[in-house]
Amino acid sequence: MAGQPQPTSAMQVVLGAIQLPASFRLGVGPIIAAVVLVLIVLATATAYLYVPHDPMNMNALQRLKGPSETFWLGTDPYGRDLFSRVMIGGQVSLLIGIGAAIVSVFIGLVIGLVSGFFRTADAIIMRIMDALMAIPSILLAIALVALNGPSIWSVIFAITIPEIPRVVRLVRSVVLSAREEPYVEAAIALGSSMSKILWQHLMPNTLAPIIVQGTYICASAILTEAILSFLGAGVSTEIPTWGNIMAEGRMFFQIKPELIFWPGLMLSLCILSINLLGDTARDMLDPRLKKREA
Amino acid sequence: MLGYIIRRILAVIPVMAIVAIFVFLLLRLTPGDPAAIIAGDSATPAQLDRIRESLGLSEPLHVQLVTWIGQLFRGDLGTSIISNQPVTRLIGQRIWPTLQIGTLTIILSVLIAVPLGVLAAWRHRTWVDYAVMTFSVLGFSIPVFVIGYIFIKIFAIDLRWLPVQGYSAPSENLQAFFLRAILPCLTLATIYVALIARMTRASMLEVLGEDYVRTARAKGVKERIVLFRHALRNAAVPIMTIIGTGFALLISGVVVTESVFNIPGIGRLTVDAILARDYPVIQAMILLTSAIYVFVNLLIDISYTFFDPRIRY
Amino acid sequence: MIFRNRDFSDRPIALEIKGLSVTTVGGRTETQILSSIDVTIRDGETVCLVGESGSGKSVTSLAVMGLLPKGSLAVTGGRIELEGQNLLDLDAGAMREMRARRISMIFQEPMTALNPVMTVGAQIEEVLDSHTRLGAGEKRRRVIDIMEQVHLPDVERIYGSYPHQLSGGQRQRIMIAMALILEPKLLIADEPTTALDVTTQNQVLKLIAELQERHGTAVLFITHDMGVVAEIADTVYVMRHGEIVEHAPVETLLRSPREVYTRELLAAVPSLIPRAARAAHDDAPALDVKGLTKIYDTRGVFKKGRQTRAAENVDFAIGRGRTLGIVGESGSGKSTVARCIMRLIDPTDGEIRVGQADIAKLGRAALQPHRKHIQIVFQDPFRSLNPRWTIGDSLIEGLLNFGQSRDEALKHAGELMELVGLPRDALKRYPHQFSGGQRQRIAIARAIAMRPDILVADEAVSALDVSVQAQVLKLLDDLQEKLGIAILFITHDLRVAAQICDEVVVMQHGRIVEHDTAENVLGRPAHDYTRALIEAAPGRSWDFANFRELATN
Repeated sequence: MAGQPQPTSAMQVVLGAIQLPASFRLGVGPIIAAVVLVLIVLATATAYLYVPHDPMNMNALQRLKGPSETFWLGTDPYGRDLFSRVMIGGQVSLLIGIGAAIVSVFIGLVIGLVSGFFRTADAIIMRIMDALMAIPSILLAIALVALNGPSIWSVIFAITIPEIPRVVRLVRSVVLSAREEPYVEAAIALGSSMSKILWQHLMPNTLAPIIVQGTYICASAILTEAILSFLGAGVSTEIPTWGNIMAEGRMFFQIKPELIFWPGLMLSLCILSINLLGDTARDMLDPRLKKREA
Repeated sequence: MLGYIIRRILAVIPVMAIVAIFVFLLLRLTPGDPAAIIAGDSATPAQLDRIRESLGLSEPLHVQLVTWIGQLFRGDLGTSIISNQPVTRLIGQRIWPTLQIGTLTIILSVLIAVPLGVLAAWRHRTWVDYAVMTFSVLGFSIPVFVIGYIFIKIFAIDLRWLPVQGYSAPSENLQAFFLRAILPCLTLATIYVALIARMTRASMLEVLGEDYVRTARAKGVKERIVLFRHALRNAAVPIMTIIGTGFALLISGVVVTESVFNIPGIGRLTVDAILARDYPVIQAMILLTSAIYVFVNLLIDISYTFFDPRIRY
Repeated sequence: MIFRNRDFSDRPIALEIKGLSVTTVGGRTETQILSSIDVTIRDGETVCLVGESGSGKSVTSLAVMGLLPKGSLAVTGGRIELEGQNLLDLDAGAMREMRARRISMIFQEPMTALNPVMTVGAQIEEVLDSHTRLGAGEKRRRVIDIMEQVHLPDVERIYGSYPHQLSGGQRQRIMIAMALILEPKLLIADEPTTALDVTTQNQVLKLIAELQERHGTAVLFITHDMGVVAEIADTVYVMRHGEIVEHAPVETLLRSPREVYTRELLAAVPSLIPRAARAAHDDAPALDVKGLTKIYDTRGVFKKGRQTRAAENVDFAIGRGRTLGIVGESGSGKSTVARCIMRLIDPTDGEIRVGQADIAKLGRAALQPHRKHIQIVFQDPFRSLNPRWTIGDSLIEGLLNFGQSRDEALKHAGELMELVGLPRDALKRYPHQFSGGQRQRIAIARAIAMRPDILVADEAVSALDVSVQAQVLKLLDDLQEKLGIAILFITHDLRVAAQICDEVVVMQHGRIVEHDTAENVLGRPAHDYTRALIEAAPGRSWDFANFRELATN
């Protein structure tokens, strides 16, 4: 279409000027979230240094005990120390969350860039992604774990596959809108190669949104791990994870709800912090939101 | 408009075809002997043969695919390894409780979430907004079953207002059905409400910054009408989209919730199948839920024409 | 030039703004946006508020409507009196009652100002619903009546249409109908014709004047376009940095402006008198386009494929050191031609000769060596530079592609910065640290870094204020002088075309309707369409820069 003039109105310029100095003020929420998250990560990562008991050590005489000086949070149905199990269990849960986030973001980024940039590949890739999106993620993950066995890597793989299409769609949409930018057209006119345009002009646009997306995936992966374990399709029950601890507590929920409460609290605090930080990052990076706030 | 609807319906075909092929390949492309994976470590050779036989695993791959597609067209989703019954019959027996609870949850969620989201956007950056957003982020952060157990603890065990678990068919006793459906529905609705309220708020905030909202205000239109007639209708498409894509969350919620509340629906069927390694049932559930998901999203795509007159190409 | 020159001093005052101040709120620092401005508008009078971007004219209008964005702008002093009543004293409900009944507003973008999911009839009717209690039949009668008054064709059909089914001009007429249906005292029009084509603009201006006459409405008209001011204003207020610089009856202001700023503003308005064509060289043209055609296929599943002919059989050639302008309204195909020539889109047919080579059909790899001969400058200075790259990196991007070393290229970039009038040390800075005009200079520097034979300027000055526009045009002229580049200048603005072009091509519906020297096309147009375009140009018989009537020859 012919270039219809679009003079920036006085209003836009005025509002643009206001927005810069007052860019973004961090509330208390994100700061608390960051502190909580750092504490949880440090506490679980160093858990072997300070936990009072071996989390695997069963003791038939100490089954389902209440909190005491020896067992700070009491014991589970096999007489294992709940506190030690919750702290150690966080390691695997966090590992799965971070692992799933990194793998799905990386694979999704590559497929998304290809899909957004090459029209021929796009049609096929997007149909496959549509189909993957149509399969409820939890059922797909269940099937994958059922087939590949209950190892940690198998669970990460099972959580990653359903997340990939979401990353692909995000990256693709960013690439599609960025390639319409005049600076990209100018680069074409300047004789820049396709790979240069893809990596140096288009790819940087996707980084901010996929980092945000990565935090959400991390949170949802930790949640999915718990649900998979709860359904009996998670990491092998010998390994303590927040999900496994809660799954084992199910049968005893009416007599000892702490078995679900404590791991559930740790897990929820952790996911809550990650989600809050993700929201903060998104708000800071979303130009539309900035415009509105001005 | 008819053209749009027909094109949307046609677009479902490749998606379902890819889903079917994907599900087919899932078992066959897994490293190792699929029969051994299904039967478990302690299986006898005779058991393995029986599984190979019933899944047709000894045929070449393309023959298996043709057979598989043929079965699907005949409505044959395979046979359970454990109970030896056709999976379709198992599903037929168990689907009603799930549909009832699911429908109730969707209605409940939309009725709660959309007004909450509108309110939060209208009162942007006030305590109302922060409260809605806090609830919404909490809803995402607590596992469904933990929410379920918290509800049971509070409303059934401590307060004794509602039954702990179980299900009654509405045809037998409507009151008992509702009493037993309240907690599962609330549990399922939490994450769905969080999702929809969040999207409603975001979409409304975006629309409230549009020029035509300023025009409506410049006309002296009442704020209530600005919100609901001008803004909400324009914000509707992304909200409908999230109701559709969030449906996947609802499905995984159903699987978990039915276990927590001991409801004999297809979610429980799935969990039982996982524990018994009954792969044909798991596979059929994936196909069935994907088909439901695609169908719901098709309906939502078609509903766009009602909200936005521009979608009529 | 016939000015309106009407005297309103004995008419009652409709709106009086006294000492109005507005500042930003909610940020870390408060910035004064309006500093104690005074404006008086009498019944039936048209007051033009004119100024460049950032002068505060839109903020003034929003303040009167009580629509300043909450939480970012607030009135800190003064009064806004509508027939003696201070609007700033009213609560939200009372102010809402005033809108549409006593004061109305129409906005710049007719594309986005109407609700896309409501029929336009319902949107007009909503004004009546909000402020009156009328029966359904009476409401419909009044809506149809006002739609006829704004000269909409086929009113019954348009009543039930959605905005996307109407043209830009029709949508703006709907906005006007909506604004005037309750016969308000005051109409505020914020750049209402800026987004419209010049012929449509002319019709809308006439319509506003006609309705104002009929209803005796006072009009506050906000614009950046001096041509529009000359056509419609009774009184003009010039704004700058949130202050009123000067106000006077329109003829007085245009003939004998008192303030330096006003004189500068007027002097920057490009004249419609075309420059004399410079001598053409005899050697081969730098760019030779023959039979260029671009057809878009729109395929439907059930409908038969339809073809849109965006450009058809376009022929022209530009010699070294000369400028050829392509003018036309939106949808005329002028940008399609530019994008085909740049090979940003693939032409359906025709030849594009750059020097000796025909680049129209070359593949990506074969095209690469020819890219450096032909460069482009885009319209939007805010989007033409990668915001994540330093100016230096942007400037050397092309040079690196053609084998220069980084040091060599950076040295060259420094020279280029000086050539376009910017400091060398700015190479390390990022685009957001520059103004729109500066960015456009950088975009030009990036293009000429390649030492191209041809520079395509696609609406390259259209987004700039007139004073900046004049500087950038001057820069292009100087560079052409020095480097002997051929320039293809795409513009919708006849005044700009007159300033810079040797030859002008007029396009309509994808075809060339006239092609001659700028002098002939603009001075003695041969084609009806060209004539219509020129006649629609507002203020065309006034020589703004010299404060007098245009000398007619």
